[in-house]
Amino acid sequence: MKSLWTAEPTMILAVVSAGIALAIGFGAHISTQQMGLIMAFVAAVLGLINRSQVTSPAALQNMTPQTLATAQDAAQPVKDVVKKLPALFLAIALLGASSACSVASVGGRSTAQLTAPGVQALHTAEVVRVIDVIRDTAVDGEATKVISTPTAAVVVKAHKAIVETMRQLPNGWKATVLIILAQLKSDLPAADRVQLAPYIDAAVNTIKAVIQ
Amino acid sequence: MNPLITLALQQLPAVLEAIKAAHAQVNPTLPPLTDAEAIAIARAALDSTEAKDDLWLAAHPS
Repeated sequence: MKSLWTAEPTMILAVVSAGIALAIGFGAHISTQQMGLIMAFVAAVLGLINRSQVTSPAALQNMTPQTLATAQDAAQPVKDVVKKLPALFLAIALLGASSACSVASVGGRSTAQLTAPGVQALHTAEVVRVIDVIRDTAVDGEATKVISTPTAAVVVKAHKAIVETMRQLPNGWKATVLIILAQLKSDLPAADRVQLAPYIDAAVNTIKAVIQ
Repeated sequence: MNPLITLALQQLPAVLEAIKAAHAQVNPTLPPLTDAEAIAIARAALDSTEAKDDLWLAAHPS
């Protein structure tokens, strides 16, 4: 019998990645450079193990249509999970960041003396950082043909609507922004929602966490 | 590499920045942040990110 490691390496490695990101989110002292090295290593191992689990084109040529169809059906559930995992682990990391929702310092400077408008402004900047990940994923995905151009346009327009709402309602944008994000999620085609929904959910949870 | 993994890795620096910002330590030798400065930080973040939206939309007219 195959071990879980050899049967579903991608899932295991993504969970490891999420664990590292979560550890950092909750205060582990790992520098950006160290995190980059760890992720590069994880990605390299991921690639190697993935390669060992796929069938070469030469072998495919020798398969009958029935054998090929059976193999594809068996692999589909794993493929569906694997498609979601890269976005999912980053979304978990974002949530780890938002768990420290009362930002104690900015550039080393204490935020303890801020009054309500100042705190609200910092929350705005924090949420901008999270919604930027949604927009940048769509734009980068469109550039590499992983996400369609119409979907990317929908995401960028929604992002712009959120930014304009934050600018016009600096002390009361929460409800409107949550509505825009919910609408965005429901408007996305199913194929692109797989990649973007974890980030949208992370943004929603961050907004709910930072703005009571 | 799987393009979906590449896409997720492309977002990693931004996620790390968010994590770093959330856990930045206070330097007691620096003056505390003022409301005006916090508002300026938010305004700069909004201006900067909206400029990126406008740039992309201009390059992809529907």
